[in-house]
Amino acid sequence: MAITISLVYAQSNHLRYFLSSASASDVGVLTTTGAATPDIKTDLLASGNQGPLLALAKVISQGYGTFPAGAQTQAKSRALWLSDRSAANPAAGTTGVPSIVPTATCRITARAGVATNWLVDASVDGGGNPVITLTQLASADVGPAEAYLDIYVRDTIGG
Amino acid sequence: MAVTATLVNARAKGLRYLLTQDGAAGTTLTITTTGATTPDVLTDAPAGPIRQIAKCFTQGYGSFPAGAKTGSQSRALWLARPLGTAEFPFPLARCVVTPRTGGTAPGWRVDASVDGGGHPTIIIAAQAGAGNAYLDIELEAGAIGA
Repeated sequence: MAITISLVYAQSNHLRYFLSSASASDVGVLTTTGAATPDIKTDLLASGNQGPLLALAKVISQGYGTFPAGAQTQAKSRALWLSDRSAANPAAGTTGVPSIVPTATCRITARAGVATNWLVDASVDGGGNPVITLTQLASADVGPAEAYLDIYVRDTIGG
Repeated sequence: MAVTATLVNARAKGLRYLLTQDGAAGTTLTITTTGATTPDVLTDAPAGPIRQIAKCFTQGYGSFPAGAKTGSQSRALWLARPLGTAEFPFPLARCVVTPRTGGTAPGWRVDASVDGGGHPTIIIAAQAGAGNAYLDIELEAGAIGA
């Protein structure tokens, strides 16, 4: 069974999704290809939002900052959507050196559920399109677990 | 060591570390603010508000004078927990942990304290079992760009 992902808030620098899971272990995937909602590109365009998040979602077709267009890797997807600029990503945010290109952050806030561990990661699909992967792990099938997923770009007004 | 922190993003208004718990016994990590080897906020932060907070011991910050700090003052500075209204007008930092991989037991926790010399420290208590999480040390909401 998959995590249900529903858009509840959209601005050019901030998306919020409501996550719901009824099983002891669930996974969910949020795409960036323009597919049916929940999809970051689709949800931004449908709500009339242009801005940094949409630019990030278009990386495969037009590039973004130091990230060239074309198929991305998991490391690059983590850099773009989790602001994880580890050395391979490219151009690391090394000790004492600021990371100049604004990237996104994903954060989960649990709302309901018992002893639930929500995990968020970034990866790519078979075509190299970045995706955000969600996992809900509970110690037992204890009923619906609910949470909010926030995706926002740091260092921007409104982000 | 059971828990490690690796700097993965450094901005003037925030640092992001990748926390790794390898599952071995001993599940705490202390991040310092003295200019020691990374992970150390003073070492890792570029010029900006986070670095200013990390320099509180040597030059003070807002209503906090220079010198040794208490545990409560460290929590005020790094967990955005003001001691009173005197701290409201200036930005404080906050620490947020976002799990990336792990098992069924949640349990990443973050606190702030001081070392024997009164230097603020950030204490990470890891979940039981192997896993990763991101630690954000960032300005609290309210500052433009935070």
